Amino acid sequence: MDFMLNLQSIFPEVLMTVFGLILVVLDVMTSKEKKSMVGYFGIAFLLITALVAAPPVGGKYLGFNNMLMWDTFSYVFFVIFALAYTLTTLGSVEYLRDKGILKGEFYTIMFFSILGMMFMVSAFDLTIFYVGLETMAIAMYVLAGFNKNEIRSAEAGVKYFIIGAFSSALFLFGMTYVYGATGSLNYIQISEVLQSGMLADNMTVKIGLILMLVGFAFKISAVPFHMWAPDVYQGAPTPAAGFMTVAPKAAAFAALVRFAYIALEPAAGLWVPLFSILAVLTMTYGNLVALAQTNVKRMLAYSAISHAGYMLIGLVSMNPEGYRAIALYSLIYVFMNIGAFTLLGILKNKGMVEDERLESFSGLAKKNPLYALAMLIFMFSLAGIPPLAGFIGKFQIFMAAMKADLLWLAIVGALNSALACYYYMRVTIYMYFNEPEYEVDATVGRSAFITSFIGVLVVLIVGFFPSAFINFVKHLIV
Amino acid sequence: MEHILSYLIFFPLAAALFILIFFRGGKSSMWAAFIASVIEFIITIPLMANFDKNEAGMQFVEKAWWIKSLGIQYHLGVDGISILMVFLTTLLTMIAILGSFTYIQKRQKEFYIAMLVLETGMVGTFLAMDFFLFYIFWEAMLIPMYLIIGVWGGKRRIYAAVKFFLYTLAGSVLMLLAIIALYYTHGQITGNYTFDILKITEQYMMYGKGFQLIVFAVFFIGFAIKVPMFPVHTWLPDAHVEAPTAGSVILAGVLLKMGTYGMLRFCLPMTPYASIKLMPVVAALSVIAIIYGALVAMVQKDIKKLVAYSSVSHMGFVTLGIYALNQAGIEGGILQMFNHGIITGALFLLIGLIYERTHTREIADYGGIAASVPVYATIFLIFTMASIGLPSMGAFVGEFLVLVGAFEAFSDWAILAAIGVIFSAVYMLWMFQRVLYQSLNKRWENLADMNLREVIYIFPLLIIVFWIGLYPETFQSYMHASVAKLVEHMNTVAVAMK
Repeated sequence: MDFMLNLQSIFPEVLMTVFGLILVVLDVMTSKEKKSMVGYFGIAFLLITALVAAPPVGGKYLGFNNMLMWDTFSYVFFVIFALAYTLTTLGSVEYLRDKGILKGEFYTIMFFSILGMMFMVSAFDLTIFYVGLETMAIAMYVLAGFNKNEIRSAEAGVKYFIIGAFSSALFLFGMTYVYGATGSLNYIQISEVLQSGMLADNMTVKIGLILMLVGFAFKISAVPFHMWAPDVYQGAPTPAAGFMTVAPKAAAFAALVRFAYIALEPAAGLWVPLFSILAVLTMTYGNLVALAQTNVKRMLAYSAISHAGYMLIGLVSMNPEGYRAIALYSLIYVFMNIGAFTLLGILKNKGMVEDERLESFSGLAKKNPLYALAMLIFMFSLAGIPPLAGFIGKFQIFMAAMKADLLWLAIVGALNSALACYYYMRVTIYMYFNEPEYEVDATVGRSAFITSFIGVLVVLIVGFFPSAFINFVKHLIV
Repeated sequence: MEHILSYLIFFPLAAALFILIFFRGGKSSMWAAFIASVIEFIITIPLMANFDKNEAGMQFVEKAWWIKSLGIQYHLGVDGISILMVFLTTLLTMIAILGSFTYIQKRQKEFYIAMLVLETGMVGTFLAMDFFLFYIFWEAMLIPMYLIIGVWGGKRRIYAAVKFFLYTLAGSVLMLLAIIALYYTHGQITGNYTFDILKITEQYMMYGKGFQLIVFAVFFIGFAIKVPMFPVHTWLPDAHVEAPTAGSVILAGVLLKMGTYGMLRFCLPMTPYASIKLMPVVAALSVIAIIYGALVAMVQKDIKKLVAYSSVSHMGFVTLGIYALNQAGIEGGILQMFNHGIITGALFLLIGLIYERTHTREIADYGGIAASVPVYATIFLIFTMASIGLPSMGAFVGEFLVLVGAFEAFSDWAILAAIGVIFSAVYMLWMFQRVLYQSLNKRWENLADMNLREVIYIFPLLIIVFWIGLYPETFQSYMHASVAKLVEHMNTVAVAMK
């Protein structure tokens, strides 16, 4: 019986590992021009895993001495990662081909990163979490530097690696303190020790926890631990950047939610104020700096930082509405952000360089009305204007905050989303209100078309009929 | 009749989608949009005809779960406060589309699609009886209006569009928080978590005083920006001046009404304590708007800007009437909302059509054109008079009722407001004289007069202006019952407060 439970708790990860290895073999077998096949197989594998590994509503498989949990929470986030993978894969083929980096590894590495994320999300033990974190992170470093011909991308990879390693080290350091003080790395046991009150003024555990939280803050690019994010997102190949702003962030948030709610619930007095401040800083700083950007990719990078700030509101709300809001927000964010990055990736100036300047969007509404309309929808959705999906996400976050009597935080969030609107609107201003200035090519290829079409469709449908999405995250229990 | 409100809301959207998919040319989409807006207007006629004027509550109610887990419903309804606004919206949209035929020269298809989407948002805002739904429509209007100003507007259109957008947005995101706060408070009191506007209103007695004051303040800021009241009115002249004619007509005719509608629908019934407490503040702000708007209008050099500032002044009357909190004041306010939509809409149309011919809106550039365009001059004169509030025309009845109500409630402010009426005569007549009389500017000797299409779209407005002026009961009869209920509601609270 115990064996069965253990197996059930780790089954999705085992399945994913097998599939990942098959992908590696497939990569060798496919010809150079057909490398995108590897990505498509990855999508199929994820679909199979999603179908086979779906837990029953409310079902929980906790195995390996309470180290690993496969439940609705893990599953919902797995679906989020899978969607991010699917959209990125579909949208990246033309981009990678144009850049001359259409290689099977791109998809395989992304696939393995999801494996890491799954461990992060389903971890009930810091060791497991750490293993997942590193699996995910190493894959991300590679993805960021994937276009090794381009100095910016290489720089992004190195930067991400150094800072990622640094933050992991901090996290690990904190972990050892916590272990030393509580004698355990298991979330539940840590919680029990903390609850006993014996550690109320234990400096060791406090330092440990703070170091760990700082590690988390690095991973979710919360200000002031965000410095790596804009450079990495800007330097990474555009589809990879889209993926990075979505999936690893969702994973880190999900893991943080689990850890905070289960292990740190008794220590809420310590981390709630800390993360409230981080939320305010992250939102405000991300938005203010995004306002000043003239490079759209960099602007989206800063906006990704500010979105982490909104999601932190869900965390500090300390109620089920809060983490459901985070899941919903991540889910919606997949579609709108990857959609926006995909569209950004296909914009070419005189057919040569990838063009991300704001000016290159001038007059696109005239030259390519469908492209402009899709971009408009993504921008307004990111800004949180109803009736688009982004609004539903923000709405849930605000609901959670109000429920937790965090009115002040909700006000800061609301004002911030008004502020954010301006820079998202700037893209639409250039597209719709200005005359074309450059020879910009925005021909949407087939694969990018599919991604952006799915993105637009979901953003619209969820905006009007959010019930399905809300119900999807309804049964989340940490 | 069963789902008439849904048809009203979604027919324009469906038409817009149809045009988007099946139409290529600008001309054909223009006609298609016009026909759609005519059909939309025709749908309002059975609504008006079947409306039970003796019933104070919601009619034609439609209710269905939308997002059940959050207590969000698809809930529509219409009462005496909103029915005239719906009528105004569909009428003005139709006229604005017809009035854009020659004005809009570029990207026509997109323009007409934007107009139809905008109509969906506007009608939806007036009919939504669920807070969430209301907020969606309220915000959804912003995108098409933003595009209308920004794409088809004048020289400083981008600045104006962004300013309009951000002002309104800042007000409404705070409003969203107030809505959520009401949701939770109502839920805690009754155990029933719902965004139903009527249910939340029912519990008005239970909301604490401090809570009411905060919710009121937030709502009021959001609505005051939309109205716009002094001192958050500065987006309006920019937006009006830069918007294309149709945009100005819709902005002045309908969008500004959203603010006062919101006060009637939410501020008064849900936070009556705060409304009564802060009545003097609102009255003072209204009177400031009346006088200040008029004074600023007086010194404008641009005709459109003059009319824009006159809107600030006229809308001051509306808020003054509403916050008199008595039958005459509120009915006058609603009637004045309607009047202002008709009259200012007509004025913007008239300015737009002369601008098409002369490409200038500077008052100083004109002079004596009445000689070359007699029909235009006559119609312009009528609407100028209507705007001033000449008896026998709509605005007179509205302003009169507002002042009656205001005298009853706060006579000092009413006296000051009455002075504003005189001011409006000064700036309107002075403008009229400088544009149409005095010596003829040689440039305009061969100015073409209004053509048949232009007369056609002004004509319904002309009829309505006199209709209200001569027999206001036709329009007032719709609101009697609902306003009486609202006033009774406010009186109960006022008595309880003493």
